[in-house]
Amino acid sequence: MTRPKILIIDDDPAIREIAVEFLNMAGFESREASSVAEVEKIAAEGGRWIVLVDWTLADGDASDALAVIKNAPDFQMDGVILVSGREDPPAIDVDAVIRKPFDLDDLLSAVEALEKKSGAME
Amino acid sequence: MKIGSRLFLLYFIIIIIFSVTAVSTSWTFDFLTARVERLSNQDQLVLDAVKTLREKMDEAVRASRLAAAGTASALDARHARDAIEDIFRTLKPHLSSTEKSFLSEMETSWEKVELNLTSPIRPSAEFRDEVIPELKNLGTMMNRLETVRKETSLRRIEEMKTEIARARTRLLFLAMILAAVGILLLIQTQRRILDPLRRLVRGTDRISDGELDTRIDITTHDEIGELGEHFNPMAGRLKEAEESKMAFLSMISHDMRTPLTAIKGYAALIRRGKRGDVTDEQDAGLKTIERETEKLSHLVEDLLDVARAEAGQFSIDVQPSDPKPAIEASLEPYKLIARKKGIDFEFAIDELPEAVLDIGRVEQALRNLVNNALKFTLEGGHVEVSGTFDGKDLVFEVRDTGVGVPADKREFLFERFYQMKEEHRGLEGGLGLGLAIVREVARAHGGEVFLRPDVENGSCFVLKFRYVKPQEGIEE
Repeated sequence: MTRPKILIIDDDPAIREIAVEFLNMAGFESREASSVAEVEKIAAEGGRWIVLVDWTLADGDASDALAVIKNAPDFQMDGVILVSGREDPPAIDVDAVIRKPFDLDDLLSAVEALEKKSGAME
Repeated sequence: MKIGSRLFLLYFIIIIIFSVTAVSTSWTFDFLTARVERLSNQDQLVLDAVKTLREKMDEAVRASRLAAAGTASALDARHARDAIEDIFRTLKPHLSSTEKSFLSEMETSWEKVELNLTSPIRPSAEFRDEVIPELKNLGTMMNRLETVRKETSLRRIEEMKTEIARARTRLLFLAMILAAVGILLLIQTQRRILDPLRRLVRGTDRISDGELDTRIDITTHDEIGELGEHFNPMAGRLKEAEESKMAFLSMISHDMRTPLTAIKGYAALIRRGKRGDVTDEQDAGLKTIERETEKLSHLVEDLLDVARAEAGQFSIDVQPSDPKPAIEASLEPYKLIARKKGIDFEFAIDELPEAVLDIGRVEQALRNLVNNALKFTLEGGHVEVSGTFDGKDLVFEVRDTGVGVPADKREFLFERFYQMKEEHRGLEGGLGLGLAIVREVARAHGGEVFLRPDVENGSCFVLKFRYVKPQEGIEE
């Protein structure tokens, strides 16, 4: 069974770089997007994904990005984690919330937990 | 009406009431006194006149007889008779109808006597038969007149006494009514001034307790009304300022959290060899970066906690928890920190029942107390933490042999941004938020935190959380 890919959606390039590097180091294939427009392009590629999304994006917010993903026919969502530095993150339907500043190990644990959960469901 | 004018009016009315009472009392007694004087003068006049009448009659009879005998002038008798006529005339208007009937009888008898006195000398037997009965009758009438007058006078004195008693009752009644009016006015004025003032005091109390939605309703048209008019906009601006502060802090914290994540993340990545080999020295430096970033993160969270508490938005997320293992795990790292500072650190947590708590917040509160204890304890000192359940509360004690808290500083200890820096320059710094947060956490759990006053060397903080059994929930 193939591992899900990780889509990191954040408008801050440093956060995207760290997350991509770290998750790749942990054996995942990670991609990054800084805007809803970029998310749309990647979503069109289809496949199994776990999504890490920040609330604030260059051209919208997390709910816009998730709506685009939901409309992509070949995109299979294994889980979504809201990664936010906001004081009160908006209540949207996600599998987990990670508050910035986060530990990379916590991030990995959350991703692996979702991977395990989606694997078990299959 | 302005308060000054209202008070002036009240004083004016009270003075009027006092004056009316005093003047009416004075008038009533003046009137009664004058009446008593007038009546007693009249009585005296009548009685004196009767006495003079008696003397003049004696004189007239004696003088007439002497004149008739030729031993005296007839002029003296004439004068006496004239005087008697005068007295009859003077008396008449001062007499009652009964007394007047006596007087007219006396006049008739006197006419008969006078007729005999002025007639040529008659035989003494005849004179005796005609005049003596009339003289006797005159004496009787004068006695009666005196008696009636004295009785009337006595009756009048009784009537006056009754009238004075009545006047006293009337005055007392008037004074009571006026006093009641005065008291009512006083109460009403007090109510109109004090009630809005009390509402203002309650409003400011609530505002200072952080209830910034408080508004007050004062519609009086005076200085307090003006104050009330300014109160609500002021409370509104305070609320706006508080909201702006929260929004600002929220924005700042967001903007700080993202770079903190990046700093921490890069340090972790580099340390894990993602940017090439790392020497031991570089590894130590990276660890310091990670540790300091962690501190900065805590600081941001502490600032936000204090801001939330000030805005009355400090909340906890309670769940059934097993406190003992979680607390022991959170205290464990302090053993190493204490050892590095040369401080003996130990903890002994009893078996605690499963309880509904925000265990993360409980750990945070205990960590803040332990951090403080380690901060203010010098090398060679001792810090210990105990945890017990007393049937009502989960009770934790953090005891140290540090520098202690001077008695005059204790009341400020749990205020935000308060530090004992003046006394202990050179000890590790901080923003003075730790204890303020501990207090908020304790309060949010229906508990408390306080400094044990009876500890002489060092200090001992007691932290209590009200025990809530799972499935009972927290009572609001």
